[in-house]
Amino acid sequence: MKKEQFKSILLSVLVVLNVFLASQILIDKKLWPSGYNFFSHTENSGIFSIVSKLFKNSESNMISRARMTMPERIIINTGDQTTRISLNSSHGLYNQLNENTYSALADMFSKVKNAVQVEPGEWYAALTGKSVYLSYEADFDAKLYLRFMGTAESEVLSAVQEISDVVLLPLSQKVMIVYMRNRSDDTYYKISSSDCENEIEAVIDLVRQNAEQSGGDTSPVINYSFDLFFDKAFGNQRVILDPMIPIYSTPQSYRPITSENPIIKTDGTVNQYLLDKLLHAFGINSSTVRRYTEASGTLVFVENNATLKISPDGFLDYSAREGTNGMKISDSGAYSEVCAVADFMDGLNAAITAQKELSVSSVDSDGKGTVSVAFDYTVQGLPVNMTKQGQAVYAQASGGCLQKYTQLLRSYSVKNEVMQTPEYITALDLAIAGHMDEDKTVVIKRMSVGYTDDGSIGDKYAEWHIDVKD
Amino acid sequence: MIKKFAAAMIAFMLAFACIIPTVSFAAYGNTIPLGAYGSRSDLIYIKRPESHNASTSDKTYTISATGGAGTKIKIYKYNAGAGTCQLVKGETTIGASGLYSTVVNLNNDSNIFMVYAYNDWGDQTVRIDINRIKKSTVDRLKGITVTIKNFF
Amino acid sequence: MSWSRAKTILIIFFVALNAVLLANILYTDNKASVISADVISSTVQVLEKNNIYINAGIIPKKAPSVKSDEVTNVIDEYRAFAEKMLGADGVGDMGNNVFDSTGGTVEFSADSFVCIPKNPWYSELTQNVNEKNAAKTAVNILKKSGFDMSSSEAVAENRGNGEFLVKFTKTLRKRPIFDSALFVLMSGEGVKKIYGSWFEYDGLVSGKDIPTKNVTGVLIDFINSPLRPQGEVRIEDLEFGCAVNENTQYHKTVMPVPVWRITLNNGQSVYMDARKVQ
Repeated sequence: MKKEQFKSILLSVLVVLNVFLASQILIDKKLWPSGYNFFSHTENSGIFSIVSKLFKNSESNMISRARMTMPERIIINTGDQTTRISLNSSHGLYNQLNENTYSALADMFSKVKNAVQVEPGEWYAALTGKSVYLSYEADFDAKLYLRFMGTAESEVLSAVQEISDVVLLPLSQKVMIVYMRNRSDDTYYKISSSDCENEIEAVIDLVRQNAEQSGGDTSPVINYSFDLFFDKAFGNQRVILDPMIPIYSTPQSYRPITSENPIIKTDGTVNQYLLDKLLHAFGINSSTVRRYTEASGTLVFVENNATLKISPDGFLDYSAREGTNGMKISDSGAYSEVCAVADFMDGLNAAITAQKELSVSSVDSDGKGTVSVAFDYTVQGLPVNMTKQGQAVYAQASGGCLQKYTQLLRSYSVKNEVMQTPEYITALDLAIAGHMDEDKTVVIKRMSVGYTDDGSIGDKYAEWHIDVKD
Repeated sequence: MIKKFAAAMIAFMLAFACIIPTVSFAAYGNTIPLGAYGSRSDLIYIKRPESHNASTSDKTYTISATGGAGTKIKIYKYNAGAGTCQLVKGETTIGASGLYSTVVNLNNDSNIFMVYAYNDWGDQTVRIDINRIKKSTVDRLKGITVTIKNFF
Repeated sequence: MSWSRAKTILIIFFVALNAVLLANILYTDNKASVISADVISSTVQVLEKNNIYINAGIIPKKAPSVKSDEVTNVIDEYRAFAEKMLGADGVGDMGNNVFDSTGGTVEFSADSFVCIPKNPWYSELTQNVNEKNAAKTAVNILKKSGFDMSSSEAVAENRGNGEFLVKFTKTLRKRPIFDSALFVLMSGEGVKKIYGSWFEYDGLVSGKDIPTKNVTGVLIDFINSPLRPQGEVRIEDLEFGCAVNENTQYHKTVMPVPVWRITLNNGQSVYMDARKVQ
């Protein structure tokens, strides 16, 4: 019996050893006969590569398109100020409503060719009825916006230059009017269709019923600045608010957050595992790249076509070297490049466990083939305002190549406590106090709640962020 | 003697002149008569409702105004049973922005509010009437339910 | 057939199979790092066709394995290093990266420094210095100044008039760092100058393997390299080492790049990047 047991054990060991030795040959490149790569052979086989590319590209493009047009805020106008609600990305209804409005808009833009310019009064009237207001942080080039909505570049909406905000006014399940606002020159446009299947009116009614049944005591009453005529000066009124600034009757509740640098800890130690993943995302071979540290402690990686720097406080700066194009990320063209940047950014942040929620804050094209796009982090649906860097992520691409990419590497965790911002009027008074000696009317362009991050590691709090027009 | 008397008179008149602004009105407390009027008409400007009258189907209404920084505002609501207006929004001071807004509840079909503003230079009262009406009536007034062909 | 007999057959089969696999792995691994005589011969011929001449005997037959190790500049911060060399008291910043005290001056440029004492230092150690003991004397002096002299190679030169110049080169896993060296100039009166650049390797964390080109591949690259001199070229020596590279700026830490140093018959040295960029 003992002899048989020994034979069984020996056989098992030999089988395991055999599997190990065979795997060494399959995996270790040095041991392959030249030109042989088992996995590469499968991946590169004609059908496999075509099919995988098909799915990968179409899926990632869909996701990129949809995420580029996620509004900073959705306001559901029910016709009453008491039941009007404002949603950010942390709200339970946001995703559903975003999908509904995206589908409706994509349908509209595919069917309607021309937009007509309208008076501001019509835009305001739509907001006082049953409608949905999509507020974007970025001002989109109209053609690019349409591409994000799935409409191929064409002469659709040729009259519209930029799209900053959108209002959907459903008249029934099939009849829809869409208004678009260009914040830069304060012009308004509309398109309409009697063949736009949508469920938006049903969602608005549901929201109104829920609000009425719950009493609405805990929700703030929301008015737009134009509702209260704060956008028009009278007498010695020193302050004018942009007509679309939402005015909340009560302070906003939020949870403080804590920031962290995922790559470099406060004591200076580097998470080498995540750093390698970051380098890999940029196509940099951590074994062969030229690497050194500057006097400031900034890590520098030098490749043939680009330099990557990471400062101790987590500021990442990738720049194509002069005379080179940078990393190839897409086909040429603003749409492809912007989607590819969004994909790249999402992949990078997932790999290094940085904050994954980001919203687009600007998309610009210089008309000469270079496109630049910026993103802000969002936590609990609120944007994180970087007081030092300006934006969390900034990228520049041209000819399908990434020429510049900067990011303040951060991850945020939410604390358990609940705090409140000051009332909007208190914040406004404080902001205005600094302009009292100026002998002119102060124009407030934007006013919203967001976290403030000065670039240091630690607790961050939300406050009102007020943009005064220069 | 005469000189002393004249100097005393002048001092008394000066003192009286200084006191006048502070004793020309007494700020209202928890109630204000419906027909109360103030010594000034330019402390605040009611922005909403524009004509100091409005109709709505909503159960709340936002009153907005502008005024000089430092002006205090109280809101009273007419209670027919008590025959006077009772305080519903305590004292708020207008800040550097000069803007003011507050949300009031509309419990009845007819709601009368008195906006009372005051500062060192006087006081002002403004009556605001807000009527609650049915939603269908509001829709007709706003003309939202016009036929579809008007939009294409 | 009984299960017991089957087991016996299987055991014999797997022992044989594993032996074959193991032999294959060892052979292939060895083969991957060895350059065949044919390849060397072909390389020499190609070089000759391009007016470059080399003795096949000096071409190494084995490809070295390299790890991506990080070294730390002995100069952590200019002022702190100056105080370390001159003493902490009375060190003044003269601007342009020059520091001065009653003991001497230290001047910095990128990774390099030049330290000149006002009066020669360590005269008690150098009073009997000669060509044979110059290197050892210099090592003792540098250790006293706080330098880590382990894994270093020294070459002493008699400059005449009783002066000796000792050059130290740091080695990283036995590979010299070509573009970094520390010099000590001394005589019987003491140390007159210490200058150069120096990096230290703590060896605590081992880096990953760096894939490198075979030396034959590097020689082929040399044919069209902008570093290759015009006309006939004769290669006297090939040595594998590493380089900090880019000496115009300061490096607090750096991963030296693996390079082949090609020494020509006119004394000129050319450094070729040995990394296999994929």
